[in-house]
Amino acid sequence: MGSMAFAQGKPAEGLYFRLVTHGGDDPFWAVVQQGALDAANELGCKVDIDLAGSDLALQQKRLAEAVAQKPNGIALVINDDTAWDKPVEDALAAGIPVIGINNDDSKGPAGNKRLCYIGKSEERAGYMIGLKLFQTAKEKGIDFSKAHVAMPVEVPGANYGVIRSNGIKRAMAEFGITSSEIIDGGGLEMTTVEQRETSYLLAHPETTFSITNTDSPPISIPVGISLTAQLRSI
Amino acid sequence: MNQTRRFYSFRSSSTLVVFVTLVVVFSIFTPNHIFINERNIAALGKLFPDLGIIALGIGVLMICGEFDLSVGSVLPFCSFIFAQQMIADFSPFVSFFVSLLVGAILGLINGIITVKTKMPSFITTLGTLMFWRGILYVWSKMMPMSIRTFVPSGSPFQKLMAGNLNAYIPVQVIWFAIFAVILSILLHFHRFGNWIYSTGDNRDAAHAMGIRTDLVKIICFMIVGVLCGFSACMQSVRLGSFAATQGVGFEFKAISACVIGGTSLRGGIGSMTGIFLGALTIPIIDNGLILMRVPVFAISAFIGLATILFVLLNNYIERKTR
Amino acid sequence: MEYENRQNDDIVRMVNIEKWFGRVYALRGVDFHLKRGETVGLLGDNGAGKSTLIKILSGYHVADKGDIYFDGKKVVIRSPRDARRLGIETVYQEQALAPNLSISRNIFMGREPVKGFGIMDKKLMDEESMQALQNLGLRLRSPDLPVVTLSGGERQGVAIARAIHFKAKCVILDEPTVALSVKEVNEVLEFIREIQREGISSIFITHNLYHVYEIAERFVVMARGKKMTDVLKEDVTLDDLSELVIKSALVE
Repeated sequence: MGSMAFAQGKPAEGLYFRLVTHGGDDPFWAVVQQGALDAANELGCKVDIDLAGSDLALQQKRLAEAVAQKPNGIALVINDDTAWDKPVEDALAAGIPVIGINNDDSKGPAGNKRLCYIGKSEERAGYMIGLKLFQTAKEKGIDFSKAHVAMPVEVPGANYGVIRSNGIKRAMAEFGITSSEIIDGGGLEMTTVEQRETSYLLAHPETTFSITNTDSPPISIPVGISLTAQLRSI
Repeated sequence: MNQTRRFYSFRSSSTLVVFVTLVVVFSIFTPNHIFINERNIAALGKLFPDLGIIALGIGVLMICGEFDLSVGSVLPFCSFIFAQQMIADFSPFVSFFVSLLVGAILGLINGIITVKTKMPSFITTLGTLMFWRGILYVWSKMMPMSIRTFVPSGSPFQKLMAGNLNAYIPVQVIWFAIFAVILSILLHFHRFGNWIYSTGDNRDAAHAMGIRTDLVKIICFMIVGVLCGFSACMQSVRLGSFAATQGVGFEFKAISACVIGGTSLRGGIGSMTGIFLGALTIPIIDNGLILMRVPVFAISAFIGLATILFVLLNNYIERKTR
Repeated sequence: MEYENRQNDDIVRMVNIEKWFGRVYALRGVDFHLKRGETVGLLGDNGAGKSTLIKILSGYHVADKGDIYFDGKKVVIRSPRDARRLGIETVYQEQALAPNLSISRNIFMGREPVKGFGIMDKKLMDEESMQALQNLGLRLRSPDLPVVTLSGGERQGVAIARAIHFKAKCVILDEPTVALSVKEVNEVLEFIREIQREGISSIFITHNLYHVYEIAERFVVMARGKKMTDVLKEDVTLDDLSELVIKSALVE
C-alpha cells in the first residue's frame, strides 16, 4: 500500500525505545505518553512507557525490566541523586544508551553517567519563574520590603519541587525578598488543593506572591485562577 | 438535669458540642477573626459541599451496614460522562441527568455485587474503586477536558451549580442543605428509613419482619451513586473542566466525616444531624488551623487525631448514657 | 382423608416434610400439626431437626418435599415475608429485634403505619406500642428507648407484644428463656400465657423441659430428622418427658 511505501522512508524504522518514568495517577504523564506515541508514529519506531506511581523501588524494577528487553534506547526520569547512579551505569555497560528526561541529577553530568539530559533544569526553571514574576511586579511598583512568597507543592518532599524552590529562592535573593514558605498543597485533588490554598492566603494576607509547584495542568489552572482572584481581592 | 441527659442521649450531641466549640475557638483566635470573615465563609461554603454531599450518602449507606469506597472513582467517572455529553452537543441539563443516571447505575452495580456475592462491601467497592479508575484512565487517556464554553460564567446551569446567592452564601451550600433535609426526612421520618436502620442494625430481624434487606442495601448504594453524579457535575462546573484526578481520596474522607458525626462502622447507628455536622467539621478543622497559622504540613496529623478522638468521645458518651 | 377431617382444628399442618443440606439428610419425612390456640413444646437434642423444621415454617428454608397447610389451605412459603403475610411470627432470641432501634420502631419494623408519602405516623406508633406492652403487663419508660437498654425479659416482651399486636395466628418461640435470670424467665412465661389467653397458637422450642412443661399442652420430640414422640401433657409426667427426650436421642 501507499502508506507502507511511505513508511519505508521513516528515519527510525525498526527501532524500539522505552520511557521509564516515576509517573502514575496524574494527567501530566498522559500528555507525555501521547507525545511519545505521536513522535514514534512520525519517526516510524516503537515506544513503550512505564509508570511507577512515584514508587522509586518499582521504578527501579521497571528500568531493570526495560534493560532486559534490550531496546535501542531508554529515556529515564532521574528523580533521585543516588538511586540511579548504578542502574544507569549497568545499563550503559550492557550497551543500552540511557538519557535523562524531565528530571535530572541535581549535579548534572557530574552526578549521573546518563548520556545527556533533555528537559528543563528544575533549579533554573524555578529561578526563571521567580525572575519573571518579580520583574513584572517591580514594574508595577509592588513593595518588596515586606514581600512574602508562598510555594504550594503538590507532592511534599518530591525532589523536583525542592530543587525548583531553591531556584525561586535564588531569584528572591536577587530582589531582596527574604520571607517564604513551602506549603503542602494537599495532593492532586482540586477541591482539597483549592481549600488549602484559599485558607492559606486568607491566613497570610502578607503573601505577595504564590508560586504553585505542580506540573499538572488541571490543578494549576483552576487553582491559579482562584488564587489570582484571591490575590486581587486582598 | 433531665434535659442534659436527654441532650446527651442523642449520639450527635458530642459532634454538636465539638463543632460549636471549634467554631467559637476559631472565630475568637484566628488573626483578625478572619474565620468568620465573609470571604472565608464563602470560600468554605463553595468548596466543602463537593465532599459533603457525598458524605451524606455514605452516612446513609453506613447506617445500612455497608461501605462504598468506590466514590473516589465514581465521581470522576460521572464527571467524565458529563463533559463528554456536553462535548457531544447535549445541553448541560441533559448531560447532568445522564451523569446522575450513570452514578445510579454504578451504585446499582456495587449493590448487586455486594448483595449477591455476600462479600463485605469494603472489599467489593475497593475493587470497583480501582476498576472504574482504571477504565476512566484508559477511556479519557487522563486528558483534561475543558467545559468552560458549554457552561460559561453566568449561564443558567453555571449559576445553578456554582453561582452565589449573596456574598456569604454560594449555591453549593444550598444544595448541601437540600440533600441533608431530603435524606433526613428519608432516614428519620420515612418508613424506608426504618428499613435502613433495621437492615443495618440486625439484618436477620429485618429479614424476618419481611423487609427486603437486599433491596434496601441496593437502593442505598444507588443513593450514593446519584449523589456522586451530582457532586461530579457541581465540581466540574466550578472548575470549568473534567480532570482525571477529581475525587482522589474522597472515599476515606467521606467515611471519616461520617465517623466524626457519630455513625457506627458496624451499621444501625447514626443520624443525619451527626453526618451533617461531621461533613462540616473536617473542612472547618482544616481551614481553621491554617487560619491560625499552624504549619500546613501538620494539618493531616490534626485531622487524623480528631477522627480518633471523636470516636473515643462517642463511645464514652454512649457508655455513660446507657 | 384424615387431614381433611381435622383441617378445621389445625392452624398449621406440615405433611411428610423432607430436607437435604448437601449430603446431610436433615428432615426425613416429618409430620407436624398445631391446633388453633394450642401451645406445643418442640423438643430434641441439637441437630435433631427442630430448627430446620421451624425455619421451613417461617420461610428461611424451603422444603425439598412435603406440603404445608395453613388455616386449612395448602400454602407455599418461600420467604419470611410469605410466612409473615400468613400470620406466622417468629420470636427468636437474637433475630427478632434491632438493638439500637427504639421500641416503637422495632414493634412496627417492616409494617410502619404511614400518613402519606410513606411518612411514618410516629404518634400512632408510640401510642400503640405502649398499649401493646401494657396489655402484656410491661410498663416501660418511653417508646423511644433503644431495645439494647432493656433487660433480656423485656426484650422478649417487646417481640411477643409485636406478635400479639399484629394478630399473629401462630407464634414461633425459639429458645425464649435461654440466658435469662429466674425472674426474667417467669416474666417471659407470663408473656406466653398472655399469648394463650389471646387464643394464639404457639410453638415453644427449648432445651429446658421445666420451662416448657409448665406451659405447653402437647410435646413433640424429634431426633435425627424424625419425629419420635407426639404426646399430650395429660399423658406424661415431667420425668416421663425427660426420659423420652434422652431415649429418643439414643435410639439408632
